[in-house]
Amino acid sequence: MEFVGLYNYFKLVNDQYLYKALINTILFTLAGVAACFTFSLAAALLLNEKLKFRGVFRALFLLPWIVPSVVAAAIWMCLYSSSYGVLNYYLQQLGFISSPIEWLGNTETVLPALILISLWKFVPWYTVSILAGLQSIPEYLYEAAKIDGAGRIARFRYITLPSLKSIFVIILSLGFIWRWNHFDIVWLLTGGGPAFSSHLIVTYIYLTTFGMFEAGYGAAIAVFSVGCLLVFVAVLAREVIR
Amino acid sequence: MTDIYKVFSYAAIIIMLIFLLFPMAYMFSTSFKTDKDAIKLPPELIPSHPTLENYYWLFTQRLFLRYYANTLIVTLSSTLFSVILSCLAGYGISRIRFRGRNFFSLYLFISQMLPSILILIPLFYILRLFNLVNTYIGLICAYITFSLPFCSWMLKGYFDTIPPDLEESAMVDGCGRVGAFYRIVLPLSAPGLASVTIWSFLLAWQEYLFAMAIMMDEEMKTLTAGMSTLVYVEYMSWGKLMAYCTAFTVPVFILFIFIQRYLVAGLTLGAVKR
Repeated sequence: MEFVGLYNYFKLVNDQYLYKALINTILFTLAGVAACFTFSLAAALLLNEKLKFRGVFRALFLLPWIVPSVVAAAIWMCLYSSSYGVLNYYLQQLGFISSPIEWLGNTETVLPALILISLWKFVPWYTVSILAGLQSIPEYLYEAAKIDGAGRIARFRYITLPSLKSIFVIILSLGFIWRWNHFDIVWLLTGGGPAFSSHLIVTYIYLTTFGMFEAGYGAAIAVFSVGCLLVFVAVLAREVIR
Repeated sequence: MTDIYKVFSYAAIIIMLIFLLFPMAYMFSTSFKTDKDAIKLPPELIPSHPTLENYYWLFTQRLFLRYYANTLIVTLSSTLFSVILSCLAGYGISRIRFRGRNFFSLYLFISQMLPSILILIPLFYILRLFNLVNTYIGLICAYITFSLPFCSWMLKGYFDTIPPDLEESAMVDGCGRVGAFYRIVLPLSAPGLASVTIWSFLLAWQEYLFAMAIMMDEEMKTLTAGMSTLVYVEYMSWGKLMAYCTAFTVPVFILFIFIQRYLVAGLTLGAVKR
C-alpha cells in the first residue's frame, strides 16, 4: 500500500463513467422516490377509510417488503423475460406493444424497469409510515373543520397535509438514502448493463473495487457519493419543512 | 361516505393489491410447475400439472441445506446481539446526559447514508486482519455493524416516550439503575424491542452484498449468495429457481403472520414521534 495523496480524487473529475453513473443514480432515485411517494400517499389515504377488510388489506400491502431482494430480482427477471415473460405476453394481448420487448436488455427501458421493481419493493414501507401518520391525526380536527364548512379537499389540504409534514421529511429522506445506495436488485438483474446504461454509483464502486481491484479509487467514489447524498438530503429536508 | 366513492375505493385498492401480490403468487405457482409448463404461454396461475419435483430436487441438494443452516446461524445470532447491544446504546442516549450526546444520536442517523459498499471495503480488510473472512463470526460482526446504528436510533426514540418518573420512583424504592432498566423500562418497551428484532432479522436474512464478499467458500455461503451458484449456473430452470425463492421466503412469511402488528410499529417507529 502506498500513499497517493489526492490522486484518486483528481481521477474522479475526469471519469466519464462516473458522470454517467451519477446521472443514472439521480434519475433512479428521484423518479423512484416520486413514484413511490405518490402511490403510497394514495394507498395510505384509501387504507385509512372505514372500509370492510381494512385490516386484511393493510396486512397484504406489507408483503413485498419482507420478500428478500434476491428473490425479488429472480421473480422480476422471470416476469420481464422477453420470449416467455408474463409482462410481455399481457401487454401484447392488451395491444400496447406489437412484439416482445427485452425490458432489461434495452438501454431505454432498463432504468424504468428497475424503477418499477424498486417501487414494488418500497411501497409497503412508505404506505405504512404515512398510514401511521394519518392515524395520529386527532379526529376532532376533522369534526371542527366539518362544522366550519370545510369540504373533503379543504380538509385534506389544511389538516391532513400539514399534520403529515414531519413524516414526509423522514420518509422522503430515508427513502432517498436507501434508494441512492440500492445495490442488490440492480447488480443481480443487469450488472450495470447494457452498455453501462443502468450502472448506479454503488454498482460502479463495486465494479472498481472488486472487479478492477482499485479499492482506493472505489473508496474515493464512495466518499464523493456520500457528499452528493448529503447535499440532496439537506435540500430535500429544507424544501419539505418550508 | 357515498356508495360511488366506496366502490371506487375498493377498486383502487384491489388494483394496487394485484400489482403488489401478483409477483409473489407467480413465484409460488411456478415453483409447482414442470419446466415445460413454466415457459408456456398463456401463463397458468394455477398449474395444470402440479408437481413437487422442484422441491424434491431442492431438498436433496446438500449445498442448499448447508446454505439454509448458514443463514439461520448468522441471522439468529446477529439479531440476538444487535438487539442486546442496541438496547443498551438506546437507553444510554435516551437517559444519560453526556458530552456529545446529540451529536452521537445525529451520527447514528447519518451513518444510514453511507453506502454499505463504503463500509464493505475497510471492513473486509479488518476482517482479513483478524482472520475472520469466511467465518460465521466475521459475517455476524458485519451485520451487527450496520443494523446496530438504526436499531439504537429506533430504540432511543422508543425509550424517549417512556416517562423517566417511572424509573425514578423505582430507584427511590431501592432499585439500581440496571434494576430499574431491567424491571421497568424493558417490559414497557416490549413492542419496540419486537420491532427492532424484526428489523435486524429481516436485514440479516436478506443481505446479499456482504454475504457474497465475506463468505467466499462454497460451504459457508448463505441463501442469498448461494442462489446464483446453485440455480442460475448449474440448472437454468424457472421452476427450480422459484422453488428456491419460495423456500427462502416462506419462513419470513410465517414469521410475518405472527408479528404483523409489531412489524407495522417497527417500520414506523422513530418516524412517528410525538
